[in-house]
Amino acid sequence: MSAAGVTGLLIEWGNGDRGALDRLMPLVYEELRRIARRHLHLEGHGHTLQSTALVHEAYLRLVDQNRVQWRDRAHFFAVSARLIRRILLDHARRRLARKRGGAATRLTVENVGLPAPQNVDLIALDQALDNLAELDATQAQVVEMRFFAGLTIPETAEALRISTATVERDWITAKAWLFDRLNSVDRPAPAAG
Amino acid sequence: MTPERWNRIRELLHAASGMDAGGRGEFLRQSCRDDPELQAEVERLLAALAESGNFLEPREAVKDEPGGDRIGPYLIVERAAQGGMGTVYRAVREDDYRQQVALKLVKRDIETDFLLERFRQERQALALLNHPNIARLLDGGSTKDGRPYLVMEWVQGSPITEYCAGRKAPLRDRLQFFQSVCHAVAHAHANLVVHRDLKPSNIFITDDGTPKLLDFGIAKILSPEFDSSGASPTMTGAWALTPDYASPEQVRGEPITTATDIYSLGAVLYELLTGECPHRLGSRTQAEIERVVCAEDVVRPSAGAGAGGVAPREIRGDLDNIILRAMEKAPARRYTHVEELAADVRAYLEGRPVTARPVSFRYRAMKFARRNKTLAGIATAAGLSLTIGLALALWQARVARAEREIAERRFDLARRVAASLLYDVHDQIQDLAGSSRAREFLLRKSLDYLDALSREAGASPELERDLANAYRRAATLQGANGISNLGQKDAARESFRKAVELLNRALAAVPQSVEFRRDLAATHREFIGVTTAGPEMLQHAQTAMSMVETLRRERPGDPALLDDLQKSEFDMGRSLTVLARYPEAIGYYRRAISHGGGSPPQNVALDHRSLGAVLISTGSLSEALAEYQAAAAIDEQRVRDQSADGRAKLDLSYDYADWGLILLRMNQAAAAVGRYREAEGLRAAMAAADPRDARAATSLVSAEWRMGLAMKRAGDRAGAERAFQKAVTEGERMIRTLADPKTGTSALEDACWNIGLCYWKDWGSCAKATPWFLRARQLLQKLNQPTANIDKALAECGSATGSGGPP
Repeated sequence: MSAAGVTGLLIEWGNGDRGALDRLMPLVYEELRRIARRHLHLEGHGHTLQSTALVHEAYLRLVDQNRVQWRDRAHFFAVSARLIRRILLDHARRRLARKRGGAATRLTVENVGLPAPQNVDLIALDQALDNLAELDATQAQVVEMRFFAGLTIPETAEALRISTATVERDWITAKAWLFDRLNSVDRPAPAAG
Repeated sequence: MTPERWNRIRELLHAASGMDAGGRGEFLRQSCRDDPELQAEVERLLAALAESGNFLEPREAVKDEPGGDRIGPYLIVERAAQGGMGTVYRAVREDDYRQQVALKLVKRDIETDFLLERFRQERQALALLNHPNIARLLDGGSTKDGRPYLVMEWVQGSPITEYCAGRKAPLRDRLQFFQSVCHAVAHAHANLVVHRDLKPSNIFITDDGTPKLLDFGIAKILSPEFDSSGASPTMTGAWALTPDYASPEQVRGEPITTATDIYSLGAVLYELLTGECPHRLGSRTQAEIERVVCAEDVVRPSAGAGAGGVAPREIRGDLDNIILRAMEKAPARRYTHVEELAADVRAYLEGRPVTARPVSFRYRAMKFARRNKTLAGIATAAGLSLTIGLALALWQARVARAEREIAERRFDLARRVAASLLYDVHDQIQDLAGSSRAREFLLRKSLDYLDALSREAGASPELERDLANAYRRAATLQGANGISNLGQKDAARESFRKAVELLNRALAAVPQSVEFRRDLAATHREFIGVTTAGPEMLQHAQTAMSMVETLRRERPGDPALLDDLQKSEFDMGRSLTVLARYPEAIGYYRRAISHGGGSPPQNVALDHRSLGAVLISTGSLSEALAEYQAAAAIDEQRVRDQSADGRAKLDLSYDYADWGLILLRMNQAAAAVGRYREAEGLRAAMAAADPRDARAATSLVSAEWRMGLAMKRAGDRAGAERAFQKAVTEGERMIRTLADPKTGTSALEDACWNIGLCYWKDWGSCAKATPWFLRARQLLQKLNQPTANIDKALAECGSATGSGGPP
């Protein structure tokens, strides 16, 4: 796919053409999957997947940097967030299936760049995010964009067309809720190995 | 859980996360009355938030900052640590590679301007801290994208507890380290700096065995509760206390003194000797921390298993007593000075008796204090009951035997009396000259009613909402900007606070109510009118903004909510303007304008006018001009539609006057004169229609002399002098006519000073300037205001002409 094509769709979508999104999605998904496969292949050798790096790479490959503005970048990342979530989850489920019968393991994604990497249970997070979406779909989207695509608060606000004040509130309260869900002791613990 | 329930929890969680520990407990108790489950849920989430740290946080891309791995004049060497408030880097100055520093880059969600202001306030005090055992605060600033950072001396070493445990240091060495730490803290206290966050990770021992205290004074810069300006910041989740070393007064959000550091030192010594934290916290919820730290006795250090490498028998006795005395719950019962603590440690090392006594001695004193507390409680209750009016006493007596229905009717009656006082009676006398004392009395009476009513339990949410709205009304009368008010800002804030509390209570019963939530958001917006502290304004604006956006998610097509959104965006713009965050303010104003479709035209005009004012500040004159023209177009239509409305005329005159100011800046003086003339005409007509209208008169005086200055720039001296004369005539009329002569005196003084400056600086005539300055001086003296500026001008003028200065 040429950079010009994706860039054009991105700009059209940013200008309000909703149909452009439908054409954009499969292109971005394809590229993200391709990059993810290469990254995930290395996983066995002690590599962990860096989801934000993934989006950055896809963005650099797919989009003509000279033609887009800050706003378009936020939109691209916003689209990618949902796709990344799906790719990572598919991968996690496949790996879990492979391991079944042997030592069950939690699939985690490294929250990159931290001195003490924290591991997040992807399948549990996915489930919790779905539950959050039932309470407030926009809030779940805020988390998706921040965590899976590394959008900043102003970028998330731009992509969702809400104020930064609300994104900050949604982010902080969702973080507390999800942390509580994922760490509370009464949740069934994963099967021991 | 339902979406409504979650929304309620989310609002409370968000509000509470921005408060300090003390305010939080009270806020939750008030807001969750009758719903302990709600309170428990919010507390659980607050605890989760405090613990969540970097959970899910995307990487902060330092690399993306302009100029590579560089922050200000510093080059980043490596990321050293990640803390609750941000990231610490090891860095070097780009012009001096030998000087290594620790650079703390504060998390993005902390209010930059507020923090830098605090930093400037504290810097002086911190610069005085020159002590070999204290790491120095070197610098501070903000990155290109506005994130604040602090720069400190780099210390290579490890926390005191790790250092001692790793080397299995003998008791004597540990106590000697601790003594050095005490001396350093005493030095800071002598310079009036309290550390506020002493804990092992802030007390390093360098690789060559020197103790170094880190982050001295940083806690004060970052913590929300201490603020000389009276502003309270918005730092959601940024400041998390370390409950293991925090004193009861810190946990409760009470004032912090040197005794706070003494407590923390006791806790550090506890861990240094026993290897365990002094508190056994079951969970990290606010309630649990408060319970354990404030109410539960600290376990004797010698009762431990000696996990820290010191045998319990060595601790038993004197060291137990020293630690427990430092960690007394009441600050007054701790050591009065850090040096006393150090002296006791030295006495122990030298085998002399220590001053700290065993706990048993304290029981009697404690019991006495408890008895007196009960007495104090009784006294307070008696005082309160006296303030409840006769009507209420009767009502209460009824409640005891009458049915609920009757009681509610009485309640309703009392409520209506209060409302009637606040609305009907007040409005009738508002315009009477000299009525302010009567208004004050009315307001006080009404508030007595309201206070008594709101103390009654069992009110329905509807009644609570009515009460809240009555408080809002009272607050507006007490001190809102832009209307005739009584100038009681503090009282107004208190009333708003009560309104917020009542609405939160009401919302606990009907969390899904759209109207209640709109009222609460509106109350937060009104709060902005009674404060001038930028961070506080922004906090309320943000709260209102989030609430309105949530409502809009639920009801996307509701036109009333679109208007609420426009108002909230305007308030965000206004708060950010006060904080000088102009680009963000401009963004919000533009959004407010785009959402103004369903709003009254005067509000849309106000959006344009405010945006124009910010654009003047950023120097974008032609853009500013376009905004004022848009505002004027709307206001001109308003004047045509309803010629009797004075407000529209006054608004239009402001549009014209600022339009003139911009033209003047663009060096189009002749055109500027024309705009000022329009403003003058409108204001003169209003002042003539109602000679007691203070705002029309004040702005007329200002229009006259400003027009004069514009004429001067256009080269029309005769016209300028005529305008100046008109300003004086109108100012003198005001002083004679208005009920309060101060307003006129102040307007006239402003005119005389500016006219004097024009004669002196522009027309080079000191002789002609002097009478104007003398007049201004005389007026200032009437107002009991300092005259230093004028005295200086008179002195300089006098020496220039040789005619002598003022007497």
